[in-house]
Amino acid sequence: MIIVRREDLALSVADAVLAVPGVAALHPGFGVEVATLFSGGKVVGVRLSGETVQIYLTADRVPLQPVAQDAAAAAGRVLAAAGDPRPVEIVVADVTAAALTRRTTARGTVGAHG
Amino acid sequence: MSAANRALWIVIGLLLLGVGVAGAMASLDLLPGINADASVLPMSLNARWRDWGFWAPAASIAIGLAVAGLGVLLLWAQLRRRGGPAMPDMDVPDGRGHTRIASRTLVRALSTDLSRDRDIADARVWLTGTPDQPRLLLRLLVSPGADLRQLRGLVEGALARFTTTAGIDPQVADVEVRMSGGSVSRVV
Amino acid sequence: MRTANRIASALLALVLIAGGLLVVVQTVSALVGRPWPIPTNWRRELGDVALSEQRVLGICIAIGVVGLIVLIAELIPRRQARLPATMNGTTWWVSRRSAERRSARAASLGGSVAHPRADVWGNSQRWRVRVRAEAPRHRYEAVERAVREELRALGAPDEVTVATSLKQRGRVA
Repeated sequence: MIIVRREDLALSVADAVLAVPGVAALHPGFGVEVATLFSGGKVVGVRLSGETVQIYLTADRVPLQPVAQDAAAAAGRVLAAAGDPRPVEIVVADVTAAALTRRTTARGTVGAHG
Repeated sequence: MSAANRALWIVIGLLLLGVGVAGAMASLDLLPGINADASVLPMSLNARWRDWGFWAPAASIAIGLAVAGLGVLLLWAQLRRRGGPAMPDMDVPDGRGHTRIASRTLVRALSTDLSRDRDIADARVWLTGTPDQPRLLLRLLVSPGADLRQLRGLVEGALARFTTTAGIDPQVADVEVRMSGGSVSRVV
Repeated sequence: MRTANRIASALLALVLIAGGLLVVVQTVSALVGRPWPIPTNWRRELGDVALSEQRVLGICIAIGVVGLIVLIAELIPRRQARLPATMNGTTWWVSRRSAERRSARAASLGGSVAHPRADVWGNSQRWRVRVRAEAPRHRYEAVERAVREELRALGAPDEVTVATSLKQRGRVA
């Protein structure tokens, strides 16, 4: 049986999501901060408690839906590898100004990560 | 909303004027059928109220609740958001879970994009309706010398980028333009 | 006036809510034998007041005057807050005050026309402008041309009527 520490899982999910092209940063959410707390620190933008794993991010590429879908897939792969069957909810909480000025191009689905 | 408010206050004005004129005429014994020496609240009304028994306080409570309810509706109408409630966050079902694009994110993105233009000092954006039928309301504060014909092209470009960004194509319900203040110069 | 109406309506709403709840509270408290907040002798006191009394007349006149003031304030014709500017089939709205400021600025011809003022009104088919200023009469065409050009930049419809009135500046003795 594999036991994965909560902070390691949160950090792995965060790394996987940040590696997705179009994800600029993780976002603390609106109101109550979205984060996974552990002794010694926290991972902002990832909430592992609850029935759904929530991830809030800032996108720097448009259109947004493919970015969000790729981020959900990346987070899902990490959770599956850790034996966590919970669904993933990605919230695009912000878009960088630079994303709006770039010319949009057709994007295919991003391949497997990490 | 302003037309409805105006109609409401015209009705109130007429009612007050009517009550005032009728009351003054009654007081001066000019109203046929009403004796000026009669009391403001005749005892007969009191007796009739007591005759109603249980129904009198029941009617009183019902009327009180109805009046309070009307007040709540009127207050809600005054405080209501322009154009209706904000569009809910966009849900995109996706394999293991959901992706969600926060509505306020889209609003901020469009507002920021519009405000980058040097002719637009401030851009307020309201996104209402549903993700299937989104509606946009814009309020633009532009520089005193802005040419609105050129501005339209810029705004249309921003809207096209918004459509690409969000994956939705909103109906532009209302665009209002104001020019920022500037005094007229003159040579004395 | 629109803002004043909105504030007045909100205040009226609060009065209705308070009044309605007062009636409910008063009725329920009277039912349990402890009338609150208004004591029950209000009916007897009103029963002792005759319609012919001066205070009744005074109150009725005051109510009537308030009603008349409200009515006059609401029925005074209001200038439109914004003007429709339709281009390529889509309608934008331009703040009337902004259109008037821009028209007046254009009419000033860079400062050579004094005290320019403009009134603008209209619909999606036609806008009307009335320009008043102090300038020699020969400036008439230049002022009108400048105002028309400015309104075109605002997206005014093709039909624009400009009425210009120029007053000669008084000579200083």
